[in-house]
Amino acid sequence: MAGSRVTSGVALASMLLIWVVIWYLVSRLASTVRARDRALFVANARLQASIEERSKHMLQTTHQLKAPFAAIHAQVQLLLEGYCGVLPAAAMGVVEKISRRCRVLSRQVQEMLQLANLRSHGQTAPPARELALDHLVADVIHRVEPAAQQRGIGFDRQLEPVRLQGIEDHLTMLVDNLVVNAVTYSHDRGVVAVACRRESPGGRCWSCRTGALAFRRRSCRTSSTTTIGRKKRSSTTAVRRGWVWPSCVRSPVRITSGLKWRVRPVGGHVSRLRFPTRRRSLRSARPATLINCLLNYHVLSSDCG
Amino acid sequence: MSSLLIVDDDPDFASSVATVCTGMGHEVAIVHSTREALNRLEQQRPDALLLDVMFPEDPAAGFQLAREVRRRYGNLPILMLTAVNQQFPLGFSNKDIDAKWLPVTDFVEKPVDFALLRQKITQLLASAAP
Repeated sequence: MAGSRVTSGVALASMLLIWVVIWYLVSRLASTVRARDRALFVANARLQASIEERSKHMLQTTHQLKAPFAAIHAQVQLLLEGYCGVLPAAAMGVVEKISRRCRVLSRQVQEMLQLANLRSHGQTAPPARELALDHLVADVIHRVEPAAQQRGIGFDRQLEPVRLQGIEDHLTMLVDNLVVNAVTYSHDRGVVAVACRRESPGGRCWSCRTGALAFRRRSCRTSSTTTIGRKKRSSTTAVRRGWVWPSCVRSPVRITSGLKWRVRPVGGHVSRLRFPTRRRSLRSARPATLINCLLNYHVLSSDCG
Repeated sequence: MSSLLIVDDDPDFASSVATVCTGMGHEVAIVHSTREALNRLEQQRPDALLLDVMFPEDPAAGFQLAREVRRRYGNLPILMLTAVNQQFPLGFSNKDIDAKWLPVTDFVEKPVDFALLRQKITQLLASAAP
């Protein structure tokens, strides 16, 4: 009897001991997690502050960079337009090269400004409104055309009137990026076909098709098709290596219901954007997606020299 | 021949624009700060003002000068030459031209294409003609 009491006492004591140990471990663990959580919160706040500071600094620096480029560009134009007398052909060639480089750098500075602007938190989201896609695409082509003409690249426009709901600035950046890349990757004296049309009467999507004749790179040896849906993100080597218009690897995922690239060594590449119509507006497009678009475009630009 | 006043803190850019304007047959004066611009305007009123936005003393000094000019001198044509991107949302564009907030006549974005600049100046002066 006494033995069984002792045994049950020991069992009770050991159970209590186990509970105490568990309680101690759990409370220790909980306090550690809380401490880590606090540390993480503080680190996160510092990181956020440093990102904002960096964005501000970048905006300021890019503004400072833009002014000297504007001055160089202006002076180059003076030389090219004969305000300082007629230049010999060789000198003219050199000045034209300076002018081209200046334009490319100015453009990159401009994109950095856009990037910084998209990242700034102080600004309210730009309003979505009804847009004429055909006009928007035509404006982009008009802007890109002088650079394309320097390499003898022409545009084949088939722009039917298409209206959609969206944020003008974001959409302009996206289309601009596609068209610029089409020109960049086209052969000299090639043709970049840009079409904008409603896919079918009463259909649910519109498309903007941009095709260039071929890549300048030798890396395009095989045909491939890459599709990026709303959820799926492409991670194919082709996309990651950069020769399949990486500018839009992420950007259109939230903007469009689908993006498709078709690449052929001879036929060139076609990028196709399908825009949602009624239910999915472009309102949900987050600036972050466009930031990726711009960052990737920078890589492309420097890659092509 | 018209008289133009260029207000830009970058002397190289300002002199390039002045060369173009002189080539068009206009008389040009350059100042490098908004304060100098106001002093100059007190002495002589030009036919049009070519104005930068960002100055070292204040990144929005161009806007303030435009408002001040409008307040003091009425409808003096102002062409704003700006490095601030107009096509994307950095705060303003042609659509924001407003009698109170942004009282300018037109914009040209830097880097300036001189053909466009010549066209804008011609339009500006034509709009000011009685």
